Amino acid sequence: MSLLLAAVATLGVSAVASFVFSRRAAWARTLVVGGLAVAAALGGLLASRALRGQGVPDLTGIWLVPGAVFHVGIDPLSACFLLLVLLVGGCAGVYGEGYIAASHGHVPAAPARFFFLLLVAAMALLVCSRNAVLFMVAWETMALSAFGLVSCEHDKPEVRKAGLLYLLCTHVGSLCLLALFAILGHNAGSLEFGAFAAAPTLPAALRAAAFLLALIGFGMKAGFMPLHIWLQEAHPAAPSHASAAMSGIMIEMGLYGLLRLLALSGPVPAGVALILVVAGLASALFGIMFAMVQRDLKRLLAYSSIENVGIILLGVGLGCHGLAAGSPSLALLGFSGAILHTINHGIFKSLLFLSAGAVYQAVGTRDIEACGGLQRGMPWTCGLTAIGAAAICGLPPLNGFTGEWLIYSWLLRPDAGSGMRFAAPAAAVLAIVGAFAVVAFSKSCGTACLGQPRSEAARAAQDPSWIMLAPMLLLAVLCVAIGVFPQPVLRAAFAAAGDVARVSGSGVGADFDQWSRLLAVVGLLGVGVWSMGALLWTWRNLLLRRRGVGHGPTWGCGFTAGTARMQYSGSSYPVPTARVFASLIGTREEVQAPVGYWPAQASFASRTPDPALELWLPVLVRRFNVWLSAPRRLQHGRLQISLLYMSVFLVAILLWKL
Amino acid sequence: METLTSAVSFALLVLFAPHLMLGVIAKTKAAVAGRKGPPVLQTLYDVVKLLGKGAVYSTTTTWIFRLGPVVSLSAALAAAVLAPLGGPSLVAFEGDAVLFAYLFGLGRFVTVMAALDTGSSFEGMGASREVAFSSLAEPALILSFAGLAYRAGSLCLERMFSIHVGPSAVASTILALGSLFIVLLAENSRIPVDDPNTHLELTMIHEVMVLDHGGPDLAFILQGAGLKLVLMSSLLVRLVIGDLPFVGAAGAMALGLFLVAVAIGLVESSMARLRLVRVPQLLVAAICASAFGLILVLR
Repeated sequence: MSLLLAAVATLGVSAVASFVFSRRAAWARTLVVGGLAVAAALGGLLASRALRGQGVPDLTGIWLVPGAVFHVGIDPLSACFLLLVLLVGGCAGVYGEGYIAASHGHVPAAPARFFFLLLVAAMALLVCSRNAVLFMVAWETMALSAFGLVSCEHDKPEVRKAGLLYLLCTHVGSLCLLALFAILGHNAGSLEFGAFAAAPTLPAALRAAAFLLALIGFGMKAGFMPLHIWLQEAHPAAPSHASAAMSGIMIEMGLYGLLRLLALSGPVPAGVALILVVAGLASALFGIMFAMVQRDLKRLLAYSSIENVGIILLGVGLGCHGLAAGSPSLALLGFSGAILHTINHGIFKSLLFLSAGAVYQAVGTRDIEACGGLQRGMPWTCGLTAIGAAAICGLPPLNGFTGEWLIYSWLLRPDAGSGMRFAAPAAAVLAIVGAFAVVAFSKSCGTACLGQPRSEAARAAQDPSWIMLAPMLLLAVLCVAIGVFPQPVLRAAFAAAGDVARVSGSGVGADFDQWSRLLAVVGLLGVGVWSMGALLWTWRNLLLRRRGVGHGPTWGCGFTAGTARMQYSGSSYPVPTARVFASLIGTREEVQAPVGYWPAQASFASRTPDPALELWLPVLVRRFNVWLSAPRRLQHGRLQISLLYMSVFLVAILLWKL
Repeated sequence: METLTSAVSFALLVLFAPHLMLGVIAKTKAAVAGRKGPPVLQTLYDVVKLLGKGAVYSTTTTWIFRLGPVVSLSAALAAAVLAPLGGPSLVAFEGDAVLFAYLFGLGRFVTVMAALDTGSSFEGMGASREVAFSSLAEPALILSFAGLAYRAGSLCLERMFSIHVGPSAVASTILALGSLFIVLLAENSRIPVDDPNTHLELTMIHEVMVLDHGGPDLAFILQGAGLKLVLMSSLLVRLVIGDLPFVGAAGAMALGLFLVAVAIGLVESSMARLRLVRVPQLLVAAICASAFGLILVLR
């Protein structure tokens, strides 16, 4: 466990040092890259030990905070998330150095480095915390350093707004978690996680309250619909490497929290499992629907994170259902599907955010309608984006398919039909989500990277430096590798699922063997697809070598003066799909149709408001304002009265304890 | 020896069955219209001719455009390995049905990307329509698979697509057949969803996406598209016809594919392409049919 402390300390020290030496860019860069590399090596060593089943003893230390013990430990569940944090954090951090250098001062280097390293350190500590106070300290450090990252470019008003929105949301979540730990701690008589697990069951009402608090607290961070309020605002506002870390790992800390709580609390009722399944499906469906109609590249990716978190939550719900039904193998299958998809999502989503950042820097805008034809100047970025896009659609020879396949296997398994009336409809929704993902990502990748450049900036765009490309390349290679050889990651996911479902190692082994054998066939067929593709490609080249290859303009059906503006745009591309589901998406269109034979003016604008931000949240806020107008009178802003409140409170507590 | 026979018969099937089916469809349409029609193996001649030709590439396109046909054909071939074509599949495992469905998704993704790579408004339009209709065809397919998987007690294509007897099983088979037939028409760009023989780019869906391909690329696309038709038809056949006396499973499959081709030809002869806004309604009907089939199984 001292490896973890060393890793966290390395990150912390390099965070402070990079801040201190922020004027010397080369030193700071070395500190960041070195710190992340050392931390990844240390943490990787520790996690691999835990995953191989070598017991790693917990580490406890005395801490002068009431009720708190500095207690860290590692099990496969923690190890999975620790590896993900260090992998994605490392890749994004290295990329960030290139990004900061290429931004020519737009991204303030000192806070970006400091908060990024702090964020990674906090998450590494978070997944290994075994005490509620330590957990909350790590959680808040993570939340606040993410706030620092979101508000990096705070000279822009929309960034300030996004930062404040994020800060509010994360504190609502933290408040719920505080209340949750208060309930659990009161019941267990200690704030140690081990004590939570051993505590007597809560009364029904408190159980429900705890569940609700956990769902809001962790869900706010993970961004389930409709708690996603901050997500699609904060992700575009942050610098791209920070968005990659936030979307690839930080929101998944919410899922980690949920899984850890399940591991501590044991089986939950079937009704709760159903709520998780429905919430997951709703998140997945609405997330990808809104992703489809976005113009802003990073906002599209943010909505797609909501979708993927939904798929993961669906897997968690299925696992819970398995536990409630008393079937450990169903529980293992659901949880391992969720964890496998979490790992995969961390990889391809951070890849896509990093490439979106490269596009942003090259073109100077995140609007995909201003891109187009980037493939010519940025072949590496666009090629890697295409791999990420195919992976996030869950297409077979890539990693996205493996996790979704496990979840499909749960839903379509033969005996699911009898006990689980929702299984087949859930599978159908998952199929729609998959098809929509193809719409969203063929749109984003197709409009931005392919076709003709839609602006001069897009025509002049160039690939970024190798320090930005190398991390993206590593992530893309992982997408391909896990797609054809998923067994090692599957083993880790099953081991972690065993922790959540409280199944012993030998019990996990049999199930793992079964699913690993099946996924091995999937991987083998993936190899088949790749090698058959290579074979056909070679054959095609041989055939073409014999004949000639000519070049000409794109066929315009007889029209020879086609321009870039005549291409299908990113806004028109999803329209046929969006029209079918118009009542769910709620796109608003303002049309001024051309009139007469010589129309003078015509315009068309479409906009898709976010349901949370523009529909239910304003109503809720207005209500709260009315309710809270009475107690607001207590707030004068006068120092004496505030001091009086404090002393009255202290005296009251003293009297109560006496 | 057995492996060799099955490998050879698989290769022959993958090579010739697509063209025979397309030929029978064309012959049926010609017969209904009172024409003689092209030779049965016309599309095979086309493919062979195309393989010997050069290619002209638009200067807008990149390697993604060139990769599209290759990947879509190799995905179709991988799906062929999983499909029970007149006998056991070459590779069968629990859960291969999902992989089967998603391999077609891969083919669609690369075709769409290749279409967008040309920067043509027509090809963008085709891609946009293709993904729109597939977002309704996919759930219909998965729902049918769900019903059949629950009924067969297995998520393996070989066992899902086999004959079940009993009044409830017959009803659910009919519903699954109806749903899968609509999905088959939609996914293979047949009338009433798409018209493979139309001459106006505006009205096409699949054909317009491949306008710019030529030479070996187009040959790969034709072979892959035909193979997809055969694979989805073979699933329908397996639901109705098992082993026949004298000709065995392979003969039964051949007969079944012939009948499906005739049915497609008759549908294409008897109706026009639907208006684009009506197509989603047809696909929703497919979803409903498979949902009813599912209810019958779960009841």
